[in-house]
Amino acid sequence: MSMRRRIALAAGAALCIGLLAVPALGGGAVSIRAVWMEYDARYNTFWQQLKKDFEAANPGITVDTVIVPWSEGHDRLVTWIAGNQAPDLAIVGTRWILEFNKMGVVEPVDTFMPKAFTHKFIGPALEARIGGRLYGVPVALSARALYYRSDLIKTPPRTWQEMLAVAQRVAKPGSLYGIGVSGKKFAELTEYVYYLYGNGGDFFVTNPDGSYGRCRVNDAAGVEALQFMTDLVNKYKVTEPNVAENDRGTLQDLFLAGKLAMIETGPWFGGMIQERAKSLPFAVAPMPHNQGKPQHTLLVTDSIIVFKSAKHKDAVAKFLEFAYNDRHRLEFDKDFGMLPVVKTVARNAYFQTPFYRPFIEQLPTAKPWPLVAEWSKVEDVMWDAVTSALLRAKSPRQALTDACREIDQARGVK
Amino acid sequence: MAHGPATLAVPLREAAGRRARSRLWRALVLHGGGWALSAVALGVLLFPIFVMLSTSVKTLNEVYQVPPVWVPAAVTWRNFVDIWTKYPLRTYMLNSLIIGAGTTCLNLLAAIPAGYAVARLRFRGRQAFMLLLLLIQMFSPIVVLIPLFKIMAALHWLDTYWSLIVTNTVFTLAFSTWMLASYFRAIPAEIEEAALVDGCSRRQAILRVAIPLAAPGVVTTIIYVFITAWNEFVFALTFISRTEMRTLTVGLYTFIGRWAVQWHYLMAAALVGVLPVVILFMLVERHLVRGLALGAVK
Amino acid sequence: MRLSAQERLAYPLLVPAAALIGALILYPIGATIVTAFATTDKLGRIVGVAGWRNFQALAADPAFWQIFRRTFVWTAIAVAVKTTAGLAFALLLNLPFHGRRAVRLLTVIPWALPYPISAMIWQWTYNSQFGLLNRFLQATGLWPHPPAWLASPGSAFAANLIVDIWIGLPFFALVFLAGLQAISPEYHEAAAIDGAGAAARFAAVTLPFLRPVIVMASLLSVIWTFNDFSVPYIVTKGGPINTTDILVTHLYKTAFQFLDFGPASAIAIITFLTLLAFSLLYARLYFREVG
Repeated sequence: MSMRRRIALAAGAALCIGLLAVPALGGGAVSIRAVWMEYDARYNTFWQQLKKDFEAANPGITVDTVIVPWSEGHDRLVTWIAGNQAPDLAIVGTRWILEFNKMGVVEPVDTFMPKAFTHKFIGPALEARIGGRLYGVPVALSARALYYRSDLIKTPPRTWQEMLAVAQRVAKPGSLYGIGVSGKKFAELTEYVYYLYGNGGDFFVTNPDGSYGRCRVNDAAGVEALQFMTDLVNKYKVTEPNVAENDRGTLQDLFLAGKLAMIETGPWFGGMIQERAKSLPFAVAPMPHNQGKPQHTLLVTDSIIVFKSAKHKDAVAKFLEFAYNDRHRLEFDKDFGMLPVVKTVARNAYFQTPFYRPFIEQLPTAKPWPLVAEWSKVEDVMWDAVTSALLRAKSPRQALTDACREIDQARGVK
Repeated sequence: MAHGPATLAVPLREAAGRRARSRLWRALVLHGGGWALSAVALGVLLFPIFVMLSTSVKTLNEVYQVPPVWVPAAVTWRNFVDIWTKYPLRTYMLNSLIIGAGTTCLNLLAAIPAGYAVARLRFRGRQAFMLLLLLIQMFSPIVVLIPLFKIMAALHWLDTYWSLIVTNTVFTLAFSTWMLASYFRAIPAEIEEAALVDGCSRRQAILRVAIPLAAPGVVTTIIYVFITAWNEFVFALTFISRTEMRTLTVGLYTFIGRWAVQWHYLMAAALVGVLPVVILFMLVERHLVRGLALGAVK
Repeated sequence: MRLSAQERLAYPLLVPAAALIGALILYPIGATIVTAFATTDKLGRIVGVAGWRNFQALAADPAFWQIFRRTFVWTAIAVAVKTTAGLAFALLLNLPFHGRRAVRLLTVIPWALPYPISAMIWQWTYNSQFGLLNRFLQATGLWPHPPAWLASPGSAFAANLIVDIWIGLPFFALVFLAGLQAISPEYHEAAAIDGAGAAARFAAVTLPFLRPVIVMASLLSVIWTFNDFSVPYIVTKGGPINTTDILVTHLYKTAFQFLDFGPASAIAIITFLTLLAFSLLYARLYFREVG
C-alpha cells in the first residue's frame, strides 16, 4: 500500500511539475492583449471572429483576447492594473474612465489615432471626450425607451400621468403588472434616472466652468421623481410585487414571461424578445416624462480605452481601424442590439425601422450619466436611497437628502 | 468501567425472550426510522438539487415561466449534450481535475509530516505553529488577492496550474494539518513504540503504522482538500484569464450573460461537475469506516 | 540553540508546510498591515501615511458597527446550527441501516457544488415569481404565505443563513462521522454492559471522544463563516440597503468598488484581530483537552 501510494504521489508530483510550463502564446512577433466585456455569453463568437480576421489580414500581429463578464469587469480590471498586468485595450463603461484616469493609466485615443478616425462618430456617441481630448473610442451606444404590450395598449403614454392611467387600466393583480420597477442594486441606477431626467432634474449642479458641484437630487425635481416611483409601487400598486428582489434583468424576464405590460430598458431587449418570445406583441415608444417638463432619456456608451502601458501602440491603432470598419460595426450593433456610433452605419437601412426610430429620435436630447471620478460611490449611495424609499424605510425627501450629504462628503464638495 | 459476571447473571435469562422480540422491533425502528429520518433530512438538503434537475431539462423559455413548474411539458435531455458542444466543458473539467489532484498531493506532502510532528513530538513553537496555520484562514482570500496576484505575475505563474495548486494548498493547510494531528494523536503511542522496537525506522513507522491507522482522517482530508480546490473561485477567476485554462467553477460563471442567465445549461453543467467529486467520495468512502484500521491495531 | 532529539526530528517535518506559508502568505499579510496605516491612490499604491486615521474613520461610522455586530450574529447562528445539525446527521449516518452508503453519497452533493454556483441557484430559487421554493411551500401547504425572501431585510438575512448552513452541513456531518467511526466500539459495549441507555452512552462516551473534533471543526467553521463572501455577496449583494452586509462583503466593496484600499485594509486587520482573539480563547480549550 505504501509503495503504491508513493508511486501515486510521485506521479502526481510529476504531473504537476510537467504542467508548470507556461502556455506559449501564439506565433506572431507582436502581440496585443484585449479585454472584452461579455454582453451575452452567446456572442463571444464576434470577438473571436474579429481576432481571426484581423490576424489573417495582418500576419505578424496576434490579438490575445480575454473575455470577462460585465459583472466582474470593473474588479478584474482593477486587479490587473494594480498588479501591473494591464491589458493593451479594454472595453469599459465610459463612466469608469475618470476613475482610471485618476490612476493615470489611460492613453487618450487621439494621441495615436488619425483625426479621420475620430470624425467617424456621431455626436452623442463621443461621451468620452473630456476637456477636448478623446479618452475612449465609443463601442456600444444605447438609449432607453419604453417597451409596451401593443395588444393591450393602443397608444403609448407620453407623460407620467398617462403612463399611470395605462398601468392602472391594464393591471390584473397576480397575473399582469402594469410597469416594472426594480429595487435591487444593479450595474446601472435603473429606473430612478429615467424619472429624474424626465422631470428636468439632475444629479449635480453644473458649475460655470463645466465641472460638477453640489449634489442636487434632493431638490424639488429629484424628490418628485422618487415620490412618483414609490407611489407606483406602494400607493397605486401597479408594479410587480416585492420590488427589492428584482433588478432590470429579472424585470426583462418578467416581461418576456408575459407578466409585465410595460418596461423601460434598452435596444438589446428587442433582440431578446425575438429570441425568447417571438410571438409576444410589443412596440417601443420614447421614454415618458413628467407633464410640463421636457423629455430626456438616458444615453449610455461603453468605450474602448487604450492603456499607457501598451507597448505596441501602432499595432493597437491598426486593430482599431480594422475593428471600426463599417462591416464590423454593423455586425456588432446587430449582434449586441446596440445603436450605431459610426455616421455611415447610422444611415444603414437596418436602423430605419419602427423599432429603432424611437431610440434614434431621442438621441439629440438624451443625457448621459454625469462623468465624475467617484461615480461608483455615487451610484451605490443613490441605489441605497432609492431602495430605502421603495421599502418605505425613509421618505423620498429624507432618503435623497441623506444621499446628497454622503455624496458631497465623498466628493469633498462643500 | 468493567463489571463482573455477577451483575449480569440474573437479568440474563429473563431477557433472552424479551431480547428476541426487542431485536426485531429495534431492527424495524432502525431501518425504517433511519430511512424516514434520512428521507426528511435529504429532502431538505437536496431541495436545490431537485431544482437543478428540474431546470436542467427545460428550455430557456420554460426556465423563465411564471409560475414555474417542476416537470416541463417536454423534457429536454438535449441540454446535457449541448453543454459539451456549445461550451468547452471538457476543458474546464480537465483543468479543475488537474488542479484538484495537484492540490491534494501537495497538501498531503506538507500536512502529513507537519501533523505528525505536532501530534507526536514536543518542540518549541508547537502551539505557535498551529496558531500560525489558523492565522492564514483569518484573512479572507479577497484581502490577499492583489498582493498574491502580484507574486504570481512576478513568478510568471499567471495562467498556469501551478499558481492555483500552490495557493489552494496554502489555504487548506490549516484544516489538513489540524485534522491529521487529531487523528495521529488518537492513535495510542504504544502501537508506534511497538513498531519502533520491532526495528522500523521512524519514517517506516509513519508510513506503515500511523497513516493507515489515521485512515478516516486522511480520507476526510483528501475529500476536503479536493473539494475545496475543485470549487475554488476567487483565485481561479483572478489568476487565470485564458479560456483554455479556466476551471469549471469559473467556466460555470460564464453562463451568466449580461442580459440572460442560461440557467438550463448552467444547472446541467453544474450537475455534471458534481460527478467527479461524488466519484472520488465513492472510492474513498469505505476508508471512513473504522474496520480497516481495526485490523492494524489488533 | 541546542535542539532536543524530538526537535531535531520535528523541524524538518515542518519545513514543507512552513515554506509554503512563508512564501505565499507573509508578504500579502505584511502588505495589508502596512496599507492599513497608509493612504493609497486609486491603484492601491501607497502615497502617504494615514496613521490611525483609517481605523478612526471606521470607528466613527455607525454603519461599520452595525456590520460588525451583524457579522457576529451571522457567525453565531450559522455555526451553532451547523454543529448541532451536523452532529445529529452524523449520528444518523452512523446507524447501520440499509442504504446508508447511498445516503452518505447524497449528503456530499451540496458540498460538491462550488459556493458561487450554489449561491446563484439559491438566489434564483428564492425569487417569488420565478423560484420553485415558494411555489413548493404554497403547493404543499407547508407555508401558505411565504415571504418574498430577498425582498426585505429580515427575510433576506434568514435566506443567506439558510444557504450558508446548507453548504456547510455536509462538512460537519462527514467530519463528525469520521470522528464517530474512530471511537472504539469497546467503549460503547462497556457502557452498554453497565446498563447505560443510548442517551447516557452518548453523553459519557461519544461526546468526550468527539470533543476535540467538535472544537476543531467549529473553530474552523467560525473563521470560515465569519469570512464567508460568496453567500452574502451573490445571494443578496449585501442588500437590500446593505442589511445583509458582513465585514468581508463590506471589505470587498470598499476595495474593489470604491478603490479605497487603505480603509479596506483596516477592515481586514480588524477582522483578523477579532478572529485571532476568538481563536486564542478557543485554542486554549483545545490544548487543554489534548495536552
